[in-house]
This record gives sequence, structure tokens and C-alpha cells, in this order.
Amino acid sequence: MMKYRSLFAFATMLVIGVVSAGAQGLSVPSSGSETVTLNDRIGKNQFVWVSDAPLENIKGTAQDVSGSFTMDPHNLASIRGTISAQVRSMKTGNATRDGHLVSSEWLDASRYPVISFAISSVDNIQSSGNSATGIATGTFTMHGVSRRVNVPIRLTYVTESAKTRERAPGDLVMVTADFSLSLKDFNIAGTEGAVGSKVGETIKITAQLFGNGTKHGAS
Amino acid sequence: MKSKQIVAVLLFLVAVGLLIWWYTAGHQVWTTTQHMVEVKKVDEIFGTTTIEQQWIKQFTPGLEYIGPAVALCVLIGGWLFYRGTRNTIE
Repeated sequence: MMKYRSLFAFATMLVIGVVSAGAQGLSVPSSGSETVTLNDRIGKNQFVWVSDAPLENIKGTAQDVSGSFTMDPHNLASIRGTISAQVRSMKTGNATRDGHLVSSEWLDASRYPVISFAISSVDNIQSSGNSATGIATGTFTMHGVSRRVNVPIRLTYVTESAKTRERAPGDLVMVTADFSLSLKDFNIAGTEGAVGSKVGETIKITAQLFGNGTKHGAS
Repeated sequence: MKSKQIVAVLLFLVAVGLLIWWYTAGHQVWTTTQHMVEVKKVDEIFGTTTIEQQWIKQFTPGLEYIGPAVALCVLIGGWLFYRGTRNTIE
């Protein structure tokens, strides 16, 4: 009886191990590590952010987004890289407000022109076919303050084909993310009394990123 | 009802209409000259719906314009209503 119990336990652990190992990667024919560079020809790279405050609801974008990351489609936990957005590319639909946004009271674009997110790990990966979800952990830097944040991401990978080459060479990758950041965490105080009344204490951010891969070792 | 009172009621209605319009237009404090629109499309390559935000030129007055306009309508309407009522009593 003990022999069967041990055998059952071993088989269960084996199945769990195989399933969890499989969940770390995508079921795509591509192999090996590659560098994915953001490319607007594949799709518009942008951040959309929403400030929801009692007196005002502000929607804005950051259009000048760039960056790259390395990834192995069969081991998504290995994703590392940095995504950046230029503060001066942020728009809210009101030129005066855009000016306030980049001023020293808010994001201070002259001193801190770039907002960046450096990915240091990806966990909780759940993959299905050519797409996967996970939690990207890394250092988010804004207004000269760096903080460790967790960002839920969804990644879709398309292996290079004649159709994908019409947009860009290499395998194509799309990453979407939804997360929130507190202005207080990044020492953004704004004009007196504005945060909490006209500007939300927490900003909701949606990212949509597109890139094409270059295989390591490829000439 | 005197003509002054009719104009006053119309001004009150305009004030209420302006407030309703301002609220439904996004209740912005500041006037916007561009409006964000979402362009949703099914991406054939990725097999998913992508959303691209685009800015289109659109003048939407904020509370900075709507507020004084509403206040003016209410003040003039109130004054006309008062004048109409006083003339009726006299």
C-alpha cells in the first residue's frame, strides 16, 4: 500500500512539475533568446493614463514610447529590459494643462525628462498558445524617484511569416498592461490642494506596446 | 405671465441646459481644444482587438466658460423675473 502511495505522490509531483514548467513558455515554433525593440510600424506604442478626481476627470497619453527587452518565448521568466516614455510627449487635450503637467510643480520635465520601467523579473506566468499573462516586477522611475512595482502584463507572440514581414522583420510581440501608481509615492505634490480634488491621488495607466525581435547571434 | 418673466424662465432653462451639457461633455474644469478618441480595431496578426488613442481637434468649453455663462443667465433671469413680478404688483 505504501508503495502505491509513494508512486502516486511521485506521479502527482511529476505532473505538477511538467505543467508548471510548460506554463513558463509559449507554444510557438520559435526558439532561443531574442531582443524585442519597440516599433510603431507594428502598432502604436503608447501609454494612456486617467486621473479621476472629484472635481475633474483627466485623460492623457504619452506617445513617445521606446525601449527594448530580451526574451525567450519558451522561458518568459527570463524577460528583462527597459521601457521609457518622454514626459514632454504627454498630452491632455489642453495646452495650458500640458504646460502645467511638465512644469516643476508636477513632473518637472526639464530635470526628469524620462519615465522608465526596468523589468527585473516576470512571475505568475500563465500561458496559452501564443499568449501569456504574468506579473512583471521592476523599477519604475518617475520624477527622479525609483520604486519597485508589480505590473500585470499580457503578452502575445507571433512567429515571423510573410504576413508579419509586411509590418516589420522578425517575430512580433504585443504587450498590454494595466496598473496604477500613487503620485505621493513619486513625490509629486503638484499645486497646493490640487491632488485629491482636481487630480487623482492614484493614476490609472494602460500600456500598449508593440515590438519586433532580433534573434541573438543573427547577423 | 409677463414677457420679462417668460425671458427669465427661458434664461433659467438655458442655464440648466448648459450645466447638463457641461456635465455630459465630461465636466471638465478647463477648456479642451483636443478630444481623445479610441480607435478600436481587430489586429489580424495578433488576433486581438487593439485600441489606439488619437487626438482630434474639438473645442469643448470647460467650467471656466460655462460657469460665468450660467451665472450670467441666472443673474439676468433673476433680475428680469423680479422686475416682472414688481411690475405686476404695482
